[in-house]
Amino acid sequence: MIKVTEARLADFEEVLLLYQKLNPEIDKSIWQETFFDHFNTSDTPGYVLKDDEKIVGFFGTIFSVRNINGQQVRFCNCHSWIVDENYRSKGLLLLNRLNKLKDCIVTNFSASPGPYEIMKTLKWKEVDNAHTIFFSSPLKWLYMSTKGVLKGNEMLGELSGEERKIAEDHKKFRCALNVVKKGDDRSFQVYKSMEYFPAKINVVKNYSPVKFHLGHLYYLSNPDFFFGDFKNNLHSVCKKEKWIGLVVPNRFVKNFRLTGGKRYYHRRPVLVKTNKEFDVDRLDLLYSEIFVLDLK
Amino acid sequence: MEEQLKEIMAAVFGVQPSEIHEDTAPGDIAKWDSLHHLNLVTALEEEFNVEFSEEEMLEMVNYKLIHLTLQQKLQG
Repeated sequence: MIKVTEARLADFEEVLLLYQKLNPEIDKSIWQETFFDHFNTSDTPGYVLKDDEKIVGFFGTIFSVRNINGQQVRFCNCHSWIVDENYRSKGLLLLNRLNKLKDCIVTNFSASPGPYEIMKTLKWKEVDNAHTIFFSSPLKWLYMSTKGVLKGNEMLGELSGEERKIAEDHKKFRCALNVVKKGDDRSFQVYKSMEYFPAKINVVKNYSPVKFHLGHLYYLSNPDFFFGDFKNNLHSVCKKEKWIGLVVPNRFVKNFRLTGGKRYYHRRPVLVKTNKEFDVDRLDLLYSEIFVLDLK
Repeated sequence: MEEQLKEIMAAVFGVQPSEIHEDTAPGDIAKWDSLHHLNLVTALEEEFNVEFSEEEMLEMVNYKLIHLTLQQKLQG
């Protein structure tokens, strides 16, 4: 009999066989991370589709509870949907289980084209599908101070309880954390560094001794402050982190008049399914497989 | 309820309500695949304020069985 149940930690080895079909290049230790101890939550690592007792499908989940504007909000980020070929039509039962999660904002940040179409058909909302790259200029760095960009212990000292938890939960993954501070205003950011080569000179990428990097912004605590003085913050953050620019999701800057960016559409649309009232433009990518699986 | 059910099925599968009858099954409607089946179940749950189990979803394989299952749900 076909059924869907919450995955148990003991299911890992069986799920691993499916995982390895999904992406053989990802190491077992990474999949272990997604299954066991990604963000110290005790929630299920996913749902399994079973034919009698044999696992024939899996949909990974990362649950988190966040304090947003003084309210406790529960998120479920889903990832790694894999179903044995012989059970493809039944694989939708896994998605159905996620669709029915109550009091939860269900998100997906890494759907490939097939699942993307399915989720759209099932009325998942596409929140964003574009980013803007804002380039900094090393010439500006000459007279730009980085005093207001705090990292390490200096940064930790500035964080509120919720922000400190975010920093603690994410610091083991490949990401950059900083606080930008000016007077009484400050904003805490989480980024991932990504290698960048302008398309025109991409051909020399493999031979170039110089590597360029952009900071991809995944979370910020105070958009009004950060984007309110964006040019200064852009240059000082880039100087501090040695990035040539920042990649910013378009939903983050919808309400700000920023100029000079280069817009591009990305292959990982942000999808969300929820019955709760939530400002989806504030949706960030924390507590997701973007960090655990180190996706770009 | 029957009329409403036919209208929902017609809307989900992109056909006329008159094309839905007692014996209608996935083989009769081009768009009736597993994805649209899930879409149909979700639409019925929303419209009639009921919830189907996974087992029921898999058993609702034609109009007659959908009608029967829905009727049982509504009768509690």
